[in-house]
Amino acid sequence: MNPESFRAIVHDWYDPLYRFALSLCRNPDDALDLTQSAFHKLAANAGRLREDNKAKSWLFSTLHREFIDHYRRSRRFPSTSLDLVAEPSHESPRPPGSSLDAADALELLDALDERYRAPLSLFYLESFSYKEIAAVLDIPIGTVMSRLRRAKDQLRARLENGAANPGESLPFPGKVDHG
Amino acid sequence: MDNHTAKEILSAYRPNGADAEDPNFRAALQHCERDPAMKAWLADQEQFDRRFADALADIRGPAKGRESILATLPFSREVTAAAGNRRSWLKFTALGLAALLVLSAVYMGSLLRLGPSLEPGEFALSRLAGSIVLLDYRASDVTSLQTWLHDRGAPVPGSLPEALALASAVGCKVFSNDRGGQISVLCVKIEGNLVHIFVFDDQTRDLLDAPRGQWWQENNYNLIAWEDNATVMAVATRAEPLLLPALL
Repeated sequence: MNPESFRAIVHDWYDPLYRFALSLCRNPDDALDLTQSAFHKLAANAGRLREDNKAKSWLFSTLHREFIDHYRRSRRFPSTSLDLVAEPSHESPRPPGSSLDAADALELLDALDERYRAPLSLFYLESFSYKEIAAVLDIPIGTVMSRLRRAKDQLRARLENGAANPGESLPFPGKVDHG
Repeated sequence: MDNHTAKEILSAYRPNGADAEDPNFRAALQHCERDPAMKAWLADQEQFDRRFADALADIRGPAKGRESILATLPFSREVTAAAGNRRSWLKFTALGLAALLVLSAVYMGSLLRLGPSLEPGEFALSRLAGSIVLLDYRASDVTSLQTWLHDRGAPVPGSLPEALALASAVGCKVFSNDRGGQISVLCVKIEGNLVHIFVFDDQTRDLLDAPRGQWWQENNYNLIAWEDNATVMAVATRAEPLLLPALL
């Protein structure tokens, strides 16, 4: 891996990796720690990773392992670093009627059992096939499918019961519509 | 194939079409084509998945984090060079040294991570307001938010203007810097408008380099700061200017 390919990997996977980390630990500070740590480990192992296209799975597996080893049991008192201010999204506004925002989605994910949360988060990154999810989480393909099914059923049930009430939710930066 | 099996398999089918050619989904997809109820279920499932994926796609990592990672590029270059000739013990030594440097960088990165804390002048209240994605605590009344913040040693407003104190609460959040300073944010809704109320402690009050008692605009936010018994507070909202006087 050369510096250019490392830069390209950071460009491609920084946001999705951070998104995955945030869905796991729900704390922006910890999510950034996990994301940076995964990339630093990739840099440290650059010589051993022969194929750049393996970097994606390697990064997500590494981050997930670190979450399990160091973060899962230590949800510290939530506080977000002042230096850590997320960039607002610059994408075009979501179509009318699509009321689920990022905060709602994270709240809903957070309510899931961790066994379901990790595969579902990877699934919703959309660049992960069920085979890749199985490889990252080190679980059988059939388990991925059954966990995705149960996770989605739980999500739907919570949404339909109003667990994440869009009317009371906090609009995501850049998507505020005060109509 | 029964419906239960088809649904389980298709729970892993991505709505962006990336799995359309995967033979493992073929039988389940064909099953849905034959059964109108299953076809409707799949369409509904794909819509649900798209909605959820779109919501999560809005999340971006902080730009400073990306810059910090890219700053390690010189180290990765050394690793690459060292990995080129694995037969030479000298190169192995170089690899070890480079790895040590990277590990040092990781350690230093974890200590320094994003550089020094923000100074007055670098701080933009509108940016802080715009950064709030997740709340630390949710409650529907301001008193509950104040109690939660107080119990955690975070800054609490001594008193609030009536319109804010009686507003419907959404939740609150605490920001901190590496000097132990904290800023609490109470989020409330007034006439459908989201209003962020910031409360600064002694360590962070000087960050807000703005005149007190005057509205100003910043990045589509209307903002005002004031002091109450030495506590610095501020409001940020995207409510229409006409509605602003009623807030305070």
